[in-house]
Amino acid sequence: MTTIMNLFGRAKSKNNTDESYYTAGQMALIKARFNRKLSGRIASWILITTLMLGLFASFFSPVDPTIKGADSDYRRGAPQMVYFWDENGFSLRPFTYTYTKEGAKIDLKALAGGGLAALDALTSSGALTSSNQNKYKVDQDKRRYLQFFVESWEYSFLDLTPIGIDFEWRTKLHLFGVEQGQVHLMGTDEDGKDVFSRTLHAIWITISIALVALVVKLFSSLIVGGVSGYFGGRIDAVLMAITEAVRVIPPIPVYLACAVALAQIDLTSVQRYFAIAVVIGLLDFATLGRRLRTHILTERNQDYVLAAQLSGASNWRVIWVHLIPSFTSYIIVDTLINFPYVILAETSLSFLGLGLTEPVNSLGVLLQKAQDPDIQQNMVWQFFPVVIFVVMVMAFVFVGDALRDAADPHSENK
Amino acid sequence: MIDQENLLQINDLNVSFNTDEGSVQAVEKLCMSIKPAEIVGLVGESGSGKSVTAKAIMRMTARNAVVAKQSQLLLQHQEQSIDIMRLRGDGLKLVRGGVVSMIFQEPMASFAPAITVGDQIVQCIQIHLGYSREEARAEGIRLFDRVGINEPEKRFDQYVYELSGGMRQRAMIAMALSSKPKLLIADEPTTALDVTIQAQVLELLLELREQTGMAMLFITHDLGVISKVADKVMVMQKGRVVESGSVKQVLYSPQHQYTKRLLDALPHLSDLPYAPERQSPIVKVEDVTISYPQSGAGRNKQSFQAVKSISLALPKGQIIGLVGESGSGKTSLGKAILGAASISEGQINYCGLNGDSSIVSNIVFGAKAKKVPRKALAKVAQMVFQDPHSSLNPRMTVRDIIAEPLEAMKLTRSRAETDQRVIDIAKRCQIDVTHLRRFPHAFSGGQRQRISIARALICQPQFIVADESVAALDVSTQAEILSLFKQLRDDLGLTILFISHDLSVIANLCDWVCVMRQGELVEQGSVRQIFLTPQQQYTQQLIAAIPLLDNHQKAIDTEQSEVELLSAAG
Repeated sequence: MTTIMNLFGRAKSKNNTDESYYTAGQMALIKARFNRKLSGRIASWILITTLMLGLFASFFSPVDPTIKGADSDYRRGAPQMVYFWDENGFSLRPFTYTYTKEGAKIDLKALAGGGLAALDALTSSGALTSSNQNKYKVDQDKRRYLQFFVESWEYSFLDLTPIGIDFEWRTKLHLFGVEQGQVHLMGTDEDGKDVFSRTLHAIWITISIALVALVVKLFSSLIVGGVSGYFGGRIDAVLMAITEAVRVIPPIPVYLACAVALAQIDLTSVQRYFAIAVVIGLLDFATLGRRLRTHILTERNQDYVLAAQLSGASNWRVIWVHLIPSFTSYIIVDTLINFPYVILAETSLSFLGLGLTEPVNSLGVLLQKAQDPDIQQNMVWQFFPVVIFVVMVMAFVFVGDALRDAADPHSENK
Repeated sequence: MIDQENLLQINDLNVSFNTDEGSVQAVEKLCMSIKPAEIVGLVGESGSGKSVTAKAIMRMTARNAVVAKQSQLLLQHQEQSIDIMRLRGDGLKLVRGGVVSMIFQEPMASFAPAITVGDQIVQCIQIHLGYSREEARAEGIRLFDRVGINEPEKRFDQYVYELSGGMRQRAMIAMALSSKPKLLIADEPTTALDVTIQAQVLELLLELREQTGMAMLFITHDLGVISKVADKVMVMQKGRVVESGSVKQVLYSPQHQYTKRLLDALPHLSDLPYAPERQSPIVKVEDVTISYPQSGAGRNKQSFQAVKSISLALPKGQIIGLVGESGSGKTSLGKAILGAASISEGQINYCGLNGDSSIVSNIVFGAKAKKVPRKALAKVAQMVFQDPHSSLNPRMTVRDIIAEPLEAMKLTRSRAETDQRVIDIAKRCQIDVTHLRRFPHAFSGGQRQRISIARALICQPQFIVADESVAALDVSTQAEILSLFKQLRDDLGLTILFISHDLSVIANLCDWVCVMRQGELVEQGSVRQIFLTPQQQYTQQLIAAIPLLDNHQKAIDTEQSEVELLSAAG
């Protein structure tokens, strides 16, 4: 009996390394092939890092990204560099300086008494131009040392209440901060909100919206594609006709209509946007649905499906035990590859002013802000979210690409 | 330096492939020479390195292939010795469709589908001979005529899908001849063709050799073909030449074990079994017609009849061969017997089932009783498929694959019982039971086919349909699987319907043979009758077209004269 158990690995058997390749399942093989591709490996690490930064954004952020944490003394402030040494000596603990904004020096007295000539002098002096407002003074003698694991504003590190578990872990702990005042690694915006912290918080909002859109999309495509492909014939014809009809509706007007319709309901801007994400997902089933249909159409003609039918397996068993598992790797890959497109959809909606708007932190909002000529000329540091966005999208594309190659059995022959 | 007599001389060819698992030696220390107007046969199974050799001659090896530096490939051209390895750029045209030219296994895949066949040949002639378009066209049509394509002018402007299989291969040969090559490399040129067309193409190649004095390197896995065309033979195994010499030497007094094995796989017409006892039928095919809807819609809807009103009785405990060329409807018939193809007329009657309380004694389905009793049928009749790769679910372990019928129909009471039955059947099919936890990708084609057979046998069926079950396997593996089938017939009393286009397999395996053509049953009889004294003209053509060794031909002649004597006497 034990020998039989041994054969099927239900009893603990000796681990034979040679055997591992032969007993490797589909996923294990994909993983092994994926690991061979350097670009995919690097990209996946970058991706995981960005996702972690986004997921635990509050922990990694030194400053509260909302208006509560806005630094009124350092609006439109440039990034603050972190140093280990300067003329005053070397320090193991990294530090920044104390930056103070220069107030606009407007000689009110002269203005009051000088008449037009004084006003003319003021306007031509440049004191009123926005670039002049960015000036700040660095006080090198007042170092601000970076502190690690500091306590600052309170946030909830882990909140399970949305999924029905009554658990929330609130903490004040942050990865780093400074003793007095605030540190702005990537500068601040016109309200004094920290760009670095805002960007980290934006990552997660964007990702979660993309996730919602993708999950909805996945379900609608699975249903349409699966039913269409498995039953074929008339059902297929009707469903595909509907798919084509949906496909020709231009998405932007639909989103516009949704935004207007949703405006009637009293929702917070994030809720409203989630609702739009659901609509994006529902309307976007055409491509994946069609692909799935084709996939099922070819797969159901494979000999092993016939073999299962001849073995007396019911239709249900054929679908669930034989057909569906053959799609999983495909679906995972397709979803990953589509991720950047959904993020792009979010940003383009925000760009049009349809999606999220200030003061919500989402990459779309921050990207939209970066179009402002004022920012382009005077606050280039607000392009930081663009960099993060590009890095994240590239990482998604590379991981998806490597996964697709890994999941494709033909790639081994290359 | 090249020997003056030789057209092509290869010294010490070494080719290896860089793969993820390291370097794999594909060709090792291969030496060969081809004289003008000589046909050299290169025989071996897939993966033995014969195609790699051909590609090395044309300098077309895959990107990850490394041809070793000491390899010498010398070609005699215009009284000069040319080192093929040193050719660069335009010089390569010399070995690619110039002095050396090639025909491929699958003509359908070798022609561009969106350009007419003629245009492709014109292009080839223009490049190599520098003719004008009109001259090239005239030359191309002349070539078409020469390779025996009727209505050459019309065919010249057709696309490849409009030509039949034999025509395509002829067009391919015309294209290869267009540059007036001195050496023609033919890579399995007849493997994809039916036997009758194969014979015509071989004849054409021999004729062309006579007329043009062109030498040929003929690559094939089929020794019968080699015996018909080649002057010299080289047998390759795992990248090495294991035996070489004249056709007579190699085929009639083989020295190497491997050559002997290959020869064993040829039809042994001299010792065909005599007609076995007539058994009562297990399955009756009664007036079965299978039609598939074809093009057109509504009233114009046409249907294509794959099987036309066939009646057949399959005798119990025997292996019945179902032979026919591709498109003859043999697979449709096999599937219909298992209830996997819809029958438009007639019925299938399982009348000879061994009565067991769990098994219904009589299963009938067909045009009238549409509903196939799937579960009852699955217990008595199973299928072994052609392609061992696509017939096993890649996401299931071997154990799960074999146990599938038991689990789908819940025939066992516990997992342990299922496991025990899997082990028993695996042993019977000679599968290593320690491999049951592996996935199918870890197995070779032959082993996969054993798994497929084990799955078919697990619920102890009485009847099995094997659809081209050895067609995808190498000769030596083929022999193993065939002997397994024979063993199953003898041990379990299994009835097997063996569908194949390969007459040598049928001759080696079957007791009873049915010949199909275009959906109709042409002839049936014992294997000895069919192979030695075929009655119908089509069967005679089919048998005559099998490339046989001469001593087998003698067996046919004696048998026929005996029959004639008998009929004269009687």
